[in-house]
Amino acid sequence: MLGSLSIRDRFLISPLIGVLLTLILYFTSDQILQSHAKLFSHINESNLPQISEISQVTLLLSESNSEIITLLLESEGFDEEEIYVEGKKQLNNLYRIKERLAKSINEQESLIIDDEDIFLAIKNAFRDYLTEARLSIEMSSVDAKQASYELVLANKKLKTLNQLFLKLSQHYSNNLTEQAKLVEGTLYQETYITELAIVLIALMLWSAFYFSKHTSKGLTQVYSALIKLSKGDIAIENYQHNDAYIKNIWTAVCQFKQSIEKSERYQNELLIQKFAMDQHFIIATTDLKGVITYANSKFSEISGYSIDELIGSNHRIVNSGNQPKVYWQNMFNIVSKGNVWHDEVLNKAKDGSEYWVDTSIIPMTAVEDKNKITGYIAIRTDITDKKLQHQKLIDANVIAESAVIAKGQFLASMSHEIRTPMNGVIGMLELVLNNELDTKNRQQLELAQVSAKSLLSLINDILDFSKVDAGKLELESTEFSLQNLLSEFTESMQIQAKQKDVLLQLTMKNLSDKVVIGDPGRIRQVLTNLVGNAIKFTKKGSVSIEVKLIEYSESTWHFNCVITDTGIGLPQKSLENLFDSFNQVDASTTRKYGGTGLGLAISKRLTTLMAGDISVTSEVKVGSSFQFTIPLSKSNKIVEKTIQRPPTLAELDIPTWPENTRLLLVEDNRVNQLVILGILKRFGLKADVAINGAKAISALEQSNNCYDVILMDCQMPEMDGYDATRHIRKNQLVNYSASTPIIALTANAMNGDREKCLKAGMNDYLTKPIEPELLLTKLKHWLFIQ
Amino acid sequence: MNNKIFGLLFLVIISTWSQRVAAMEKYAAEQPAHELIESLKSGGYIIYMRHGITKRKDKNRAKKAIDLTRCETQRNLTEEGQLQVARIGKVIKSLKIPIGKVKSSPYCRTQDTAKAVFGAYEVDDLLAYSMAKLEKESAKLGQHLYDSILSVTDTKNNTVFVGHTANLKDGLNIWPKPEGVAVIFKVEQGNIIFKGMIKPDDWPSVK
Repeated sequence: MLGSLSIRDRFLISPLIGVLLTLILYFTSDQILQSHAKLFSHINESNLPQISEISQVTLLLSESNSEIITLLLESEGFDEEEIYVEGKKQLNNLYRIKERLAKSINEQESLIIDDEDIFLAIKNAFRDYLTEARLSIEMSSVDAKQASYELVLANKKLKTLNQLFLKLSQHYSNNLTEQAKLVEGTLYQETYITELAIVLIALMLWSAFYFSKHTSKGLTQVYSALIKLSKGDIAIENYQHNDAYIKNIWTAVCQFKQSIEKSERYQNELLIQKFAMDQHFIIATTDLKGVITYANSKFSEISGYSIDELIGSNHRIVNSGNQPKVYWQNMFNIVSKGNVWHDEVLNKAKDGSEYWVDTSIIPMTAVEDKNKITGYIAIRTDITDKKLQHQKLIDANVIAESAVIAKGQFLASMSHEIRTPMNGVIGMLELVLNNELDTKNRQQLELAQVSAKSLLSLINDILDFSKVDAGKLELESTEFSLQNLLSEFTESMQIQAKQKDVLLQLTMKNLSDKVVIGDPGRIRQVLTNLVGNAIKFTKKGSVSIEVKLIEYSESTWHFNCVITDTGIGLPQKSLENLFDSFNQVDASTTRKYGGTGLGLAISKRLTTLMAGDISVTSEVKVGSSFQFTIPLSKSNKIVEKTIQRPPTLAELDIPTWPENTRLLLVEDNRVNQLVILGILKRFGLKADVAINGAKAISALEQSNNCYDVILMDCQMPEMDGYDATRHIRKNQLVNYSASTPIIALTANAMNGDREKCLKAGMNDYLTKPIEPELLLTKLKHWLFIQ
Repeated sequence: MNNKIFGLLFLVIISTWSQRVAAMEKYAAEQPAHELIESLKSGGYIIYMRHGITKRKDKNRAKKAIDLTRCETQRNLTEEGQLQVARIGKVIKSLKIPIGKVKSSPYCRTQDTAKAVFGAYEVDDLLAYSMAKLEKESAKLGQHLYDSILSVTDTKNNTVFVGHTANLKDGLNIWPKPEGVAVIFKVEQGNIIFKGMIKPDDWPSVK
């Protein structure tokens, strides 16, 4: 039970017993003292003052008596009146003594001594004396002798009174002696203070001894164990103790020992990690000002400075000076706020050589306050070699990119260069075929026309592919009807299908009167490629187009299209690379079926560009099935049920033009001049020709600005279409009609041409080769607006 | 506050007492006895008369406290004394001195004197012998005598008080000597005027 006391309580027990002892002694002795004091005060209150009072009264009486005697003896020398005055004084004196005696006696109750009430006796004796003395004084002024006689009688009474006083004094003295004896007895009265004190002192000593013995032994063992632990020796003996307090201390010591073991383990792990890190990283620590406080051997090895040289130097010692001051200020701003800074830095070694390091600077914080930064750790990796390789790669990439750009430019110029003569060829053939010809010639020319168109489409494919590849192809986003698009497309493909005796079928699900937003031209291009291939590779049988519109979300549909043929099919192994560029099943296919082999690659790229995907399943000699899915945005519009079919040239609806309609054709190419003039002639229109921009401007000036529409080629010698247009628009503000419409005719099919033309001040835009019906539409628009 | 009042009262008492004494001394010029006897005839005077001659050695007297109802406990007139007061009574009667109110101390010796000299009298207990009294009581009796004399208004007759030495000493500071003496006063303008003493032998003999 005592073992469970806390150390404080143990040390408090002895003093507590001491305090208890003192308190007991204090109160007991106080009580005794008080009882003694009472006895003494009783003596004081009773006997002593009375003895003194009796003595004083006796004295006063004797004095008064002798005064009276003196008065009577000297009465012969005084007259009656003087004796009366003196006697009166003595009498009053006696009255005062009487009062005093009455006061001291009346306070007492009766006191019996020798069967006699002594107080009553004294009272009576005094009264007798007073009577005699009064008579004596009364007589003194009348007859001194008689008075002396009376006084003798009075003195007899006085003697009796004095005897009584003596008796009372003796009585009081006896009382006093008895009381003194009583006090003496009480003073030595037995108390148990001594015994109690002995027991308490013994208890005090025992408790002090008991606790100091038990506790100090335990504490000494703990102390020596702690000394051992503090010296790093963790092999300590664990004593068994019943004492709960010491046991608790031992538990704490054991936990301390375990934590030391644990921290040693951690330290060891950290040392291993540090060793490993030193093999790989440059590690340094600095204080807040950047002065190096630690550097590892790797740092020394790479920088060329010894560790001693590094420690104490500012970290700027390895600064190559390649970064501006602001760069380091920025770094300091980051780390001083407690953040980690990371970058690749060029440092300078002692010999002046430079090396690249991948650097992290981490702020170190104080143990007690995580917000207080005490210094920084820099961890670096030498990346000089990597950096060199990286630079090589960058250089190589620059070369590769410039090659790609060169290729793009080549393609763009090629497309222009090829398109221009092709325009002439196709346009001329068109014009010739409009004339009356014999059957053989017509067949030959039509064949030439088909070949030319085929060649143009081939060029367009290559151009498209390169545009997609260069990321220069941009998608349109217009509202259109899928149903109309598919119907028109299928109709246009029917001619081709009929020629091959293949049945072409279109099945649409859930498509009616839905307008979508997307790029109809590119969807048509994918369809053309896939359906064209299907017809091409099917000798007999059918090609089916199955289309579904699946609701994907509130704003989006998924347009799903499956084109199935009964053609030659594809071998399984060739399916994987089917959508790669310039890939046909084998080289012989190209020879047998023609084509660039770009169709599927373009389709794949276009669907991907439209956020869709394309796939194929096939079996040799059974047929193939191509499927693509494209997400399309929903539109609120509803399809107008009109079927538009591009009219043939013969079918064109040519209006009656306003009188004196004059056009100006600005075109440097002689063939193109003839083609366009031919088309215009059929429309019933005439045009003046200018061979470049400068000529066009002078023509305008000469004609006094009377042209209704200008058809402007863009690329011409001397002054091109753009400059001419800008000049016309600028001068028109002063001289010319500001509203002369200018329609661009360009072979530049690359993206951005249209914007370039409009920006220069042109009103509209047509690409070569010129489609007659499109030109008619534009002319109708601009001429009738006028 | 109280102290102030007592102080003031004390001053008043002292001043009245000293006035009284001063009044006595002012007229200290005593008139000779025969003139006094002549004056008494016209009345308006106050006569304070001490009792006649008494016994000195009286061994028969009971040695006890004085009892006013019992003459044997008192000092009484001697035979000589009785003759003395009887003679004075005859003289006053024969001189036709007008006597008004007579007051006597309750002692036997004063009552005997009053009866023998003036005939009819009243006993005034406060004229009792003030000798053996306490100082305060003596003063009280003296004051009573003084007041009694001052309040006398009878101008036709002489007013008489028969008493002892001590009372006159305590009341008016005059010691009447010897036994049987008559002390004469007159009240004039609120003051008691001491006129003189007529000793027993001063009285003329009766023809």
